[in-house]
Amino acid sequence: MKLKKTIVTLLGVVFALSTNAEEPGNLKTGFTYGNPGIKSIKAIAFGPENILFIGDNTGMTVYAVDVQDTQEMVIHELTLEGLDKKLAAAMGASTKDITILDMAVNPASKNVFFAVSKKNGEETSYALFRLGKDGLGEFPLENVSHSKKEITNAPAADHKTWKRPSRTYTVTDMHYVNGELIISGLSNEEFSSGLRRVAFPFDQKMLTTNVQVYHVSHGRNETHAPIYRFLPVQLENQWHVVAGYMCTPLVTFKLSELNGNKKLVGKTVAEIGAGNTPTGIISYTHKGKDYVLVGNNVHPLTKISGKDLFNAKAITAPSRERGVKRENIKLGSISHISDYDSTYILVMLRDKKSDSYNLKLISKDEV
Amino acid sequence: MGALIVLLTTLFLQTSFGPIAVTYEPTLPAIVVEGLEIGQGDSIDQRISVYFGELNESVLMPELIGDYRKEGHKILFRPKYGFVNGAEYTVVIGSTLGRSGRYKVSVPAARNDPSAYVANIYPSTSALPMNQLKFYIEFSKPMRFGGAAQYIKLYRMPEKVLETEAFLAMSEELWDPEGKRLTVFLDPGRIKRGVQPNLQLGLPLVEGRRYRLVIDKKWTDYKGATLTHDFVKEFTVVAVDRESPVPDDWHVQLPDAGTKEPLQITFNEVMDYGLLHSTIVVVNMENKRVNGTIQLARNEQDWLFTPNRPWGEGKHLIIINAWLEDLAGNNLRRKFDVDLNNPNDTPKTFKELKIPFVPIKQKL
Repeated sequence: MKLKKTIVTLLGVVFALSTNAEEPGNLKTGFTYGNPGIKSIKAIAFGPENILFIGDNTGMTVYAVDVQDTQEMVIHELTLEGLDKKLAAAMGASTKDITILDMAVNPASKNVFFAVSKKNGEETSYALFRLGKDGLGEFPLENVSHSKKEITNAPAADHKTWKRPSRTYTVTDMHYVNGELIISGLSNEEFSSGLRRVAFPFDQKMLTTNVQVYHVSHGRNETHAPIYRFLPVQLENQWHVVAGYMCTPLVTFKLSELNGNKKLVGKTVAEIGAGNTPTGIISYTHKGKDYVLVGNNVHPLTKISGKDLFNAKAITAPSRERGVKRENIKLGSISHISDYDSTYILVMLRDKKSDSYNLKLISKDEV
Repeated sequence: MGALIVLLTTLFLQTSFGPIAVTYEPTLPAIVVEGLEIGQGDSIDQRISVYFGELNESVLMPELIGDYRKEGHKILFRPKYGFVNGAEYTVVIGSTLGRSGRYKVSVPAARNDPSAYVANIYPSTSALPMNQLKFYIEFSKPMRFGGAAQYIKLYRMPEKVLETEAFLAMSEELWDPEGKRLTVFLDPGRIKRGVQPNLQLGLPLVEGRRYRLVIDKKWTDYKGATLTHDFVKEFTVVAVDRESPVPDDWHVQLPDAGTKEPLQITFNEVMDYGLLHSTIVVVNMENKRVNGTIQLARNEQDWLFTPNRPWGEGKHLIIINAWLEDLAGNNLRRKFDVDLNNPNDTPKTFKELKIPFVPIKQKL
């Protein structure tokens, strides 16, 4: 038995072996085995068929990695206290030296993945961890089936001639939908918004496109702030994007409007509140109804029904209008949120008292 | 029976070795275990475990991820994600015939004398518009990422009142690739008209007031050393700027052909430091980019471009991307926040501005 690969054994957890007989689809066209050469990890997101997308800011590249989960995890009650302490110990550091960058649940296996960085004197190192049947362990990325695509030249139409040594693009969120990876990010020189679209499987010839997304406040002021968290979601059988901005508006637009280099103005349906950062958006269907949840680091979890979100009118006077009908659920400071399975959502909460990060499954009946 | 004798011999040999020594070897760097005999077929990583810090009996903590290797009589452990300077590690040697034990290993703290400092904060002018959007903090050396916000303090003067909600709080830190320049946004939610933070709190800076921006010397560089001294920038706040820069009011000073004189653009207002380095290029008659060095003068109101090789003759072009902004985030094409009811605010459609020029031919 190789104990070293297993870090924490979960007690009180029921596991089931999955047949997982999914045929490798054509989504893995162009995948090769080996070291993808990932320089940094900023964001992770799952697509179908065990494909994990990894956003690398330093390498200005997105990777698709086949995690090949073969065992399905069925957890009825999962609480993991001090997740950050365990991740830090495994990386040989104290919690102040590490950052949990992102969390993603593999829809095929229900295994939970974490991207973690560690400050190491002169350099920062990055690791991927998997919480699965055998507990919490490192998921090494040195020899994996993968493909990759550079996003360096991304708003290519505008400035392919520019050499920008000081300019950076920081990935803030990524989602796979309908054969595309959509990426949101922050620039260190402008406070502006562009969603990047990359066709998947990655076609090396195809350029990524950059769509400028605007939102309107007070019915009259149109701005160009960056989208921080977003989610492609079906509302009333139409694909939409729900986008959370750092300076509080929650905006929706139709996915079909995300087209080329055309300017796109979203519909502002709510303002979450000042001094807050949206930390994740998820959607699910529970007891026949669609819901969208917005996790926040300061304000409570925001719950909106899909139908209300679809029918919401644009806010014209935020000081008087409340915006779309929504519930506020107090769970604490959410740093990451994922739709876990048909019964649960998974949240990572920051406990200020013990200064630690805890993982908690919450029944969809309770939110 | 024969097998039993072999086994007993093996165990005897193991116990007859000298004491086990566990040390940290900085040149490798690795934790080195000496005096522990590993039998054939015995896996090293089942005999030795390395933990960060002190081992706590009540909480099961994971071992360090890393690689164990046998080199001669020594066993080397190298953690995959490196050691931490000044940290302590516990090495547990698995129990076989009472030879188990715990060993503490310390990695020495790096001796770090402060040498890095804040080279400058941009904009370098001391009069900023009320809707100033961002600061660039430039350091002399690469810095350690994370926790930047605690070292940046804005005080309202002369009362020296700390402005606690002036900056945009976010987990991402916007460093340049070298780790020497950090971009800090004043809270755009307070600057954008019509959103709640703006309506509730107003703009972070108030016209007519004086402010002091202090960068704390406790900020550490990439080696973990603090800065040599605090950096202080004082400024006063002038009227709000809701106008895009006006290219008609710019002046271009032409260089002489055959010289390396700088080409100079004088703007009608102070422009954004970062974008002045990334949005302007010069191309020559053959439509090839002219390589050279950019310098800024008069507090980022002048842009000077010195070519690496003397200017050629004929038609050249200055190409300026419409993303070039002033201090308040108004770019050449659109204002930071557009009032849809104001026809003057309608964004323009051009992507780049082209300014043709011909280097002056010198009279013989």
